[in-house]
Amino acid sequence: MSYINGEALKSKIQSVIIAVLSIAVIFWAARTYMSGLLEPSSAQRESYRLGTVVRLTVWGKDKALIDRALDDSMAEITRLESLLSVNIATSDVSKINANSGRFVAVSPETKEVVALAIKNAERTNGAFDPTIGSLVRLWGIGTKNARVPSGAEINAARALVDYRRVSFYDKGGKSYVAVGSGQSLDLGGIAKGWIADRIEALLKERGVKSAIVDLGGNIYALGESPKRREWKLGLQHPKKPRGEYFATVDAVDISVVTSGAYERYFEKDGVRYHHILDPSTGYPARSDLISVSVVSKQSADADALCTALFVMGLDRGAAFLKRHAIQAVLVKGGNGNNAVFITPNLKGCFELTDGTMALEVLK
Amino acid sequence: MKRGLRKGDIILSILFVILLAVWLYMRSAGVGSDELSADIIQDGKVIRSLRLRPGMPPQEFTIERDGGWNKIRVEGEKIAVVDANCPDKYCVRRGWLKEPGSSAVCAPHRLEIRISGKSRVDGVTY
Repeated sequence: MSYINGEALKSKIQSVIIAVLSIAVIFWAARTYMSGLLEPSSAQRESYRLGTVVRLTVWGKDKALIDRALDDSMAEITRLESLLSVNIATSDVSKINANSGRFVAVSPETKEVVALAIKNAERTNGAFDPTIGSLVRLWGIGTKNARVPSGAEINAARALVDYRRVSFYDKGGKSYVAVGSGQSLDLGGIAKGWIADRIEALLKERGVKSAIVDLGGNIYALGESPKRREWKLGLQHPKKPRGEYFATVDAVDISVVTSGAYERYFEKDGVRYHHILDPSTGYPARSDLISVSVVSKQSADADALCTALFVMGLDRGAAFLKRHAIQAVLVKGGNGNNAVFITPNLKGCFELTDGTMALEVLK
Repeated sequence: MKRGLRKGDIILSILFVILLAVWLYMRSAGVGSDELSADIIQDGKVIRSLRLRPGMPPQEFTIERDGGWNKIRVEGEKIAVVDANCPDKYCVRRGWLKEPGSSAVCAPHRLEIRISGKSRVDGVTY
């Protein structure tokens, strides 16, 4: 047993404290450094395109690669919009409409979207119809010319809505599309989804593993989230301001698209006229649904089917979802609380966050 | 006496370094960024950023460009476009924004007001 005086004890304690503190500092430094290495950085581009806010966010370690991929994606969105928009006089769609009744040479992309639109019109029996242009223009919902047309006007415009009169073909490396005489093509119900698919493919080709492609609420969640595995996407609450959601869907490498009557509308004499027109009546769809979300690998399909399901309503919509094995969330309106219906496969990744809504799983 | 003082210095500086490391870590981890802020975005660029704190006196201001204007009001932790001269006035009809990620868009004026802060979701489909 050795004798330790006060001075030596003090110095020993100090040494221990210094040692412990040094280790702590090294630990902190290493952890901060490692987290800097492990957590991928992200970059974002935002712009007004496709008549809405387009926001692309990409995560990754190679900053230069991300920036290039984002710039190229924005350029591609602009290019595709210049082909597909009805609001651009020089677009393929405008040319097709100006030359109705005749074949018009178009880019292969335009033909591809037209073909996909017709496929979705066929399987929904015209609940989604890309020749709805005459009705869209007549009502003008979402523009300053919005008005309630006369019954005669609606009948005249409705007579021009028929997807079966659209034809297209490829010949000698060129693509051609024709609409029936007087018909007006409007790809607004599918173009955003189709462009989201294209951007998803472009980003993947560039080696991007994590991204959120948000084209005005039409979202493609590419790959896995850098934070947890799944991305968490909110579904817009039909009765609350934009950005507030009633439920979330866990998504990995999949697209979620939502359509609702709340999105664009005008009011006249106390009646609300929303922008989802029923091709069979010529009026805004008198649906028992107030919101439809479709979860799909193909954003173009999801986009077109949202509109179609809304027009079909709950019963026809639920039967369609079952027949085609499509995953969706349907919200039924009404005076009291809203009821939410989901397809069985969404059970594990769906969470209702609005406690006032009732949830039912479709069979 | 002289030696002890030196050790004290070392301890003090190490403590300082630790505090610095903790502070840096908290900052990078985003701890403490629960505070809400609103970004005013024009043409995809943030032109103004405001903190939203409870109890702040209400303020109103107007964003103007090329004859188009949007009047914005901030009250505590919420913000809204209260008036505008755009044809559709969707931005005004959005009402009060409170949640992170919420936004009011005025497409004719290429203007967006968005609440940032920690959101539970990576995006909202609408």
